[in-house]
Amino acid sequence: MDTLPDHDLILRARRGETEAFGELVHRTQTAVFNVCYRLLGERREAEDLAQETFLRAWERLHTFDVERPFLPWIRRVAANLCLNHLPARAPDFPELDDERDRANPESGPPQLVEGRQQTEQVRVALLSLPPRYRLALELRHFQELSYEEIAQTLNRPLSDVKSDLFRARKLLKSALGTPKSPDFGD
Amino acid sequence: MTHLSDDLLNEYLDEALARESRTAAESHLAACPDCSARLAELRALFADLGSLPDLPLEVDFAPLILARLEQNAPLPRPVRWLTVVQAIGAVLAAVLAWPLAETMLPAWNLPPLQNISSALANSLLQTVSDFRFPKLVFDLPSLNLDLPTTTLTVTILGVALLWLVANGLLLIPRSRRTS
Ligand SMILES: [Zn+2]
Repeated sequence: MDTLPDHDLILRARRGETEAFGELVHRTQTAVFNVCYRLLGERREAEDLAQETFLRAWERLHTFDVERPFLPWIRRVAANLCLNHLPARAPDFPELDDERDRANPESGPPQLVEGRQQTEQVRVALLSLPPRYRLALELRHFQELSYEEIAQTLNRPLSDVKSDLFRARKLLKSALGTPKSPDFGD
Repeated sequence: MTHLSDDLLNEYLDEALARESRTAAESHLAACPDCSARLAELRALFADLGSLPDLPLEVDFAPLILARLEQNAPLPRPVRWLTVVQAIGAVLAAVLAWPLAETMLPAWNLPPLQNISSALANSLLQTVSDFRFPKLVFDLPSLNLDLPTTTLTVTILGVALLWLVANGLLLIPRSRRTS
């Protein structure tokens, strides 16, 4: 089972073989969890939503085009599901649950410490954004969808998608504290 | 000279510009240090996002998902199709078995199949032609059974019941049968 390509596993799962679907879960669960974690910022909630994602995918497996890769599809299902669970506004003080303890930025060799601090900064900055901007960055940068694909996924006009994405980048830059450059555009 | 807008720089890095706009942007960038600096900043932001590592999982979802699927899995489609095919097969088998039943159960006075079919056809034609209920062309089988016939009937019914139960079990997916 663990040597079969995704394509075969999906066909088997469609015939009702839950073991085949289990193998697909195995292969994609870390990616799916990380979509939810980037969007929700809370481990337990992200775990719940990741599981919901797989149950939803099982129900909708017959709508999936087997000629296309499975991972991008399931990640989009996860993003769509999280969309309904995102609060309307960003929290005033974004919290990264207990990740600080797990990857203590003050321990280890200096280069590693710097790397972790950088990573943590990016996560905190992402979570400080209003959810719609977080979602735009998730779909463009982590799922690598085109503007058109994002518009299709979110069922929104292309112009909205672009303005959300560009605004999201601007907000993220200021949240990361990089010095502001003179603004010629807009 | 007009500087490149933020939107244009974004679209440039997203590789969303048409060929001509892209070439125009590139020649401006080559000549303008200000716009090049803004592009470099945006590029650094892309790199920050790109370097965010995946967190490792603390739980394996696969067994949890499978447990939940097996609790309330609906019969998958192919099995439902099998049921339909089987039902059609059963009707065919009953029609084919009719002459046998005739010879085995003489006490029941079963009419031959042609009579039934012609009776059905007659009834249909009559109903269509004069919109009245048709007369019954044949008598219902008598229920005055003698003992040997009854034993045979019980046996046949028993076998049929067993067949149904066994096939019904086969229709349940393996995963649900074992759990
Ligand atoms: Zn310029």
